Amino acid sequence: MIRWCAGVLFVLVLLSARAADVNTTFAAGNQAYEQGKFAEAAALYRAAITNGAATSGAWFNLGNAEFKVGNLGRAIAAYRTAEFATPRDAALRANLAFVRKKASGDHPQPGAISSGLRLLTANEWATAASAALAAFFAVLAIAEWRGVRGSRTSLVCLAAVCLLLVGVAATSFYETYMSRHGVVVAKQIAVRFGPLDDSQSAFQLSDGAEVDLLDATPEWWQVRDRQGRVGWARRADIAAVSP
Amino acid sequence: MLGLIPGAWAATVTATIDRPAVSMGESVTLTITVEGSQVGRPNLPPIPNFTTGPSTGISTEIINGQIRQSFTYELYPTQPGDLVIPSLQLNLGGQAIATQPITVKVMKPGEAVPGATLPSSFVKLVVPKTNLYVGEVIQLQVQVYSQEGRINQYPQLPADSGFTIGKWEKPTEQRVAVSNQAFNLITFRVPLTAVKAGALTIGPVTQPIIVADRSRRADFFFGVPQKEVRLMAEKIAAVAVPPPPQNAPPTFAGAVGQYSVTAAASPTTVAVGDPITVRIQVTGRGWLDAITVPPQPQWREFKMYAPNARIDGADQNNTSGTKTFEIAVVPQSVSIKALPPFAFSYFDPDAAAYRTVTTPAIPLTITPSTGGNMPLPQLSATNANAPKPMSDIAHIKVSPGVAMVSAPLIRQPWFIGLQFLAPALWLGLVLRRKRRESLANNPRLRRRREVQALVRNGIVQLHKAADENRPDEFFTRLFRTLQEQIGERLDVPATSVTEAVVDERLRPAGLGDSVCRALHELFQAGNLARYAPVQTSHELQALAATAEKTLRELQAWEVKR
Repeated sequence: MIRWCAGVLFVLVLLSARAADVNTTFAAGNQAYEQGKFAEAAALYRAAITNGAATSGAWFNLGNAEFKVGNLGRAIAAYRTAEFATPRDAALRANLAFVRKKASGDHPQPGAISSGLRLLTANEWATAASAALAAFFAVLAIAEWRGVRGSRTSLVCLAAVCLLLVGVAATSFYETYMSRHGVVVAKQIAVRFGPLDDSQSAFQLSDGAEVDLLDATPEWWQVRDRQGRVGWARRADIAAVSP
Repeated sequence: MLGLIPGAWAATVTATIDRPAVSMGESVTLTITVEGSQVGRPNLPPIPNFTTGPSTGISTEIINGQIRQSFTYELYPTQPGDLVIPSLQLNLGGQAIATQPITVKVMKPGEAVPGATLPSSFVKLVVPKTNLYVGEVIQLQVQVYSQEGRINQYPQLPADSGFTIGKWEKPTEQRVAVSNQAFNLITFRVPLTAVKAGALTIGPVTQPIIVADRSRRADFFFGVPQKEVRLMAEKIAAVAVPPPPQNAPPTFAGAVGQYSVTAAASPTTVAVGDPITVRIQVTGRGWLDAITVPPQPQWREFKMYAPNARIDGADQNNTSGTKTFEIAVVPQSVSIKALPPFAFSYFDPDAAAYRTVTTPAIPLTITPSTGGNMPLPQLSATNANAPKPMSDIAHIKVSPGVAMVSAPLIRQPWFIGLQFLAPALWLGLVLRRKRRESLANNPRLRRRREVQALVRNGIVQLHKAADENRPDEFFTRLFRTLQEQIGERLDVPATSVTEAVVDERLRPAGLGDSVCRALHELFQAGNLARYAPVQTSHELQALAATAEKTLRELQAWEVKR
């Protein structure tokens, strides 16, 4: 028992030491940023993210640092990653809109449904749907316990709300975890008809252009831009955005 | 040298093939026979110009005390011509024995095999042309001729051949005759688009097919065993060249195929600076995904925005149909009277020439902008308080913030399990209500349940009263418990039950003698206690045990009605 407790204590100490180390890296990134060393700050934020501090703040600050360096695509990719965790962060939204405007590339104009979906994270939508379902069945259970019949209209309305929330949660889950998006991170890239360097160029995309990722080979992404054009771009030129 | 496990000496080894000539795509069966020695299966070394298939077989025979083992291998030729299976060295008990070399004549697909009929299955590639232009779409047909077997996979094409390979269409099947032999012809079609200039290859194509394995005996339960055979079709050489740069029209943006174009605009009466939506529809055959809006030199008096595009009525590979572009254009001058013709150029690979199609000009009415020369309106008090546009990004965060969640809740087992709690609670309550309703509609069942509970409690109280040596309470409870249980069994009021019921009702109804005797004993003990109430705790405990046993037997007993 004593050995077991000692083992747990040791692991906790290691974890706290690692957390402290990661927080130190994040703080060092902030310090470099304040000193105007944006490239160094970006590297430190990346190190913090790689070493376990994949937080919304780290991604947000990385986006800022990349923007200051002039990497608009990388900044957009970082902001969009942070958006998965804090979609209602006003500063994040403002920065993303600002950088998108600066970028020469195309960017999505979210519709009302898409904007509504982004009010909450996928997990928040799932929790809301779960709570609605639990409330629905709790109402049924209370009615059963008391031996009374609830209002049919109220139950239908509650069921409709549940179904709507489940649908929204499923859509949000699909958008967040199943569909793949990317951002062009090179100044100007040629999107080709096939996944070959020799293949003819189909169209050009510039830094910050946002695309859907349709297919992949070890070295290429098949992308679709906002105009519906489809082609192949080198993986190194595209930053995939995922939570 | 083949690795063999030596088993004896004076052995002989021979190599044979099942037929001297085959077509490309067919296999030849190599049989290595070892006589006079028992060995393990030899590992076949790489054989030039052949690949080894997955199917191998072993058979062992003992004839007149001599062992003979045969090992079979399926070999697939990789090129046509006179191919040689070289001498194979085997090591038997330290003695090297070589097989003789064997020549196999491999014919091109479709060619007659000397001394043989057509193979039972073969594959042909058919393309409409081999001189292509970059961006041109051709349809590749993979024709699988088969007299037996079934196909459960699409053909396999190499991915890096300089073509973009579309999705396979649903195959078609028909019966055809080739050289007076009947075949099932299954045709697979897929569009190929040349994306690279230079010498290209189409194929080779591999088509797996499931056929009966005649080298193995039929199984009693599972019938004829089957094996997968890979049919191969040779690659086809092709050449792709880019459309000639000379004479390329200025409105050529890389479209290759045959197309027609229509255009419409809305609204047609606007002020300078207001947008007009122009809808361009390009209809035809070709690689629709690759079509873009070409530059329009005549539209210089309009500001053009990036178009939105969609494809309608196309096949699954977008090689025919209509691509619609919606472009917002903004007139820059009141002198504009019409939207100039939209010109779209494409390269027609059949005619080897550029074509330009144009739409008619669309009349427009452009009015002066209402705000064009007017001074900008003064900001109202409300506008003055509106936030100014950002001049820089918001500053960095001081704290790391919330952790990114990589695992979605929906995939967490505990979260999925949680969803079942409330429904389970509700279902439990529904079941409870149903059970109550069922009891309410069945008085006998309800009484049985109630008596069961009463007897359960009664037995506990009997033991307690016996332990505490309280005979009055003991016998009162004993009598009442017996009355309730017997009354429930006989479906009569408990108060009407006396000792006489045992012989009058219970015994005729089939209750066993031992239980009847025990009941008499219990009733009589109760009667005796009224007149001689002194009982020891030990006696009461013995009676309690008898009562418990008797009551249990009564509960298990069903009245014969």
